[in-house]
Amino acid sequence: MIYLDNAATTFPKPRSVYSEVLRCIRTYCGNPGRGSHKLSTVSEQKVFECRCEISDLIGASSPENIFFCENTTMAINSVIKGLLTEGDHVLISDLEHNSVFRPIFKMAKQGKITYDIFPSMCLDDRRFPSGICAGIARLIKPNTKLIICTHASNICSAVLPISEIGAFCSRRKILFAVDAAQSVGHIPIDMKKMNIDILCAPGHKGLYGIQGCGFVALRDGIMLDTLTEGGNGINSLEGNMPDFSPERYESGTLPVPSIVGLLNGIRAVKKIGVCEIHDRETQLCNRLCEMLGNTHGVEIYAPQHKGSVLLFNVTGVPSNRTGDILNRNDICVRTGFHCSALGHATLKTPDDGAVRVGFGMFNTQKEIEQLWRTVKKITP
Amino acid sequence: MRYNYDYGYDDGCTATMTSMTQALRAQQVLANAAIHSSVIKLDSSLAKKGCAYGLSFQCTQYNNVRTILSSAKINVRQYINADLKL
Repeated sequence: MIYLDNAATTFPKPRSVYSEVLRCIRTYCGNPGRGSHKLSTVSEQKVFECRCEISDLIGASSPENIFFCENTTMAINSVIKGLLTEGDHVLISDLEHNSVFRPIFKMAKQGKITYDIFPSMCLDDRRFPSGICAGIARLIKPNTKLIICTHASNICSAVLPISEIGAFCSRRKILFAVDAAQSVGHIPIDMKKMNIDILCAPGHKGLYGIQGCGFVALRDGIMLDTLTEGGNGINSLEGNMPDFSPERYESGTLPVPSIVGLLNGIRAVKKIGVCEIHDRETQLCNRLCEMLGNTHGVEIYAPQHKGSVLLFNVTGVPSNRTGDILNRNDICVRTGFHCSALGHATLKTPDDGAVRVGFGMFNTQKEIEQLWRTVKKITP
Repeated sequence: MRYNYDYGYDDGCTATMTSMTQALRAQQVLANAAIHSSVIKLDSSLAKKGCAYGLSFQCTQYNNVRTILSSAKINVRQYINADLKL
C-alpha cells in the first residue's frame, strides 16, 4: 500500500511512537496532575516533557505557554472564541481551512464580529511578501483585533509569508495567530523570530504523533477566555478557572497516550531535522509535478509552489473517480474539497474538487512513480 | 509534614507553586543547576484553594533556589520549611 494522504494524517508513525504509546497504556498511564502517586506523576512528567519539546521546536517563550486540546480545530476555536468579543474585526486569508473560516463565519453571522479576506496571491507570478502585506494593510480597520491565517495551505504547497505578516502585526499592535496544521514538522517555525502571538497545531500530522491531541502555543502575556471549564487538578475548591497557562485551558483528563505519542514523534522529527524533511518532501513534490506536468490530460493547481502537498485533476475525470481508481491500486490520496471552500475557490478547481497528494517523511521516489504510472492509465 | 517519593516524609524546604506544570518547570531549571528537588502535593494546610503542588529541596540550597527560580521568572507563591517559616 502506498500512503499519500499525509496532509490528513501521517502514516506510518515512527516505531518509537508505537512502542511508547503502548508502554504508556500498559505501564504508567495515570491521570496527570490529579494526584501525588507514582502513575500520576510519571504521566505528568511525560506531559511536561512534551510541552518542553514543543516549546523548543517552535521557539515558544516557555513550556507552560503550551496547552493541549483534541486537535487543531479545537485549538483554533479556543483562540477565536477566547479572544474575540463584540465589535471586533478579523482578517483571514483566501486559503483558509474551515477550522478557521467556519468559526469566524458563524460569529459574523451572529453579528458579533466582522471579517475580511486578504489575498494570498498564490496564483500570482509576481508574488512578494510586501505585496501580500500591502493587501492586508488595505483591509485593516480601527477595530481589527486579530489576523489569523494558515502558514501552509492544506490543498497546495503555497506558504504565507508569516515573518512579514508577523512583523506587520507587531508594528500595528494587532494580534497574530497562525494555523500551523500543515507546516509544523514540515517547515521550520520560530514564534519569537516570526512575531507569532498564537500558534495552533496538530500532533498527528507533521509531528507524527497519534490522533487525539493538538496544541496552542501562546506568547507571554496573552490570556484567552476559556472555551471549557471543569476540573484540572488544581485549586479545586475555587469556582473560577485558574488565571495561568496551561491549566486554565485544560479542563478534564488529558489524552496522555496521544501526548506521549506526540513527544516521541517530535523527537523522531528532530532527529531527522525539519529542514531535511522539508527538502525530501519538496524533492518528491518536484518530481511528481514534473511527471504529471508532462502528462497530457493532467492539470496541476498552483504548480509554482513546491512542498508537502500537490493538487491535480485528470481532465474529464471527477476527482472522486480518480481517487477510487488509485485506491483500487492501493494508493491512498484524498479527493474533493479538503474542508477548504476558500482555498478551492482561490485555486479555481472544478465543481467536484480535486485530488490531493500529501507527502510525508517516509514516502519514496518509487511510490511517486507508481502513482504517476497509475494516473497515466486514466488520462484521456 | 509532607511526603515525597525520593525521601519519604521529609523536613526540607518547599517552594509552593501555582501548578504542577510550574513545579515541573522549576524542577527542570533547578536540575540544570545541579540542584535536586522533588515535586510534591501540598498539605491542605498549604493549599487553601484545594489541590496545589510544590517543590521540595534541601534547605541548604534555599538562597540558590530562590535566585535561580527568580531569574527563570518562575512564580513561587511562598518558601517554607518544616516549621512553615522562611
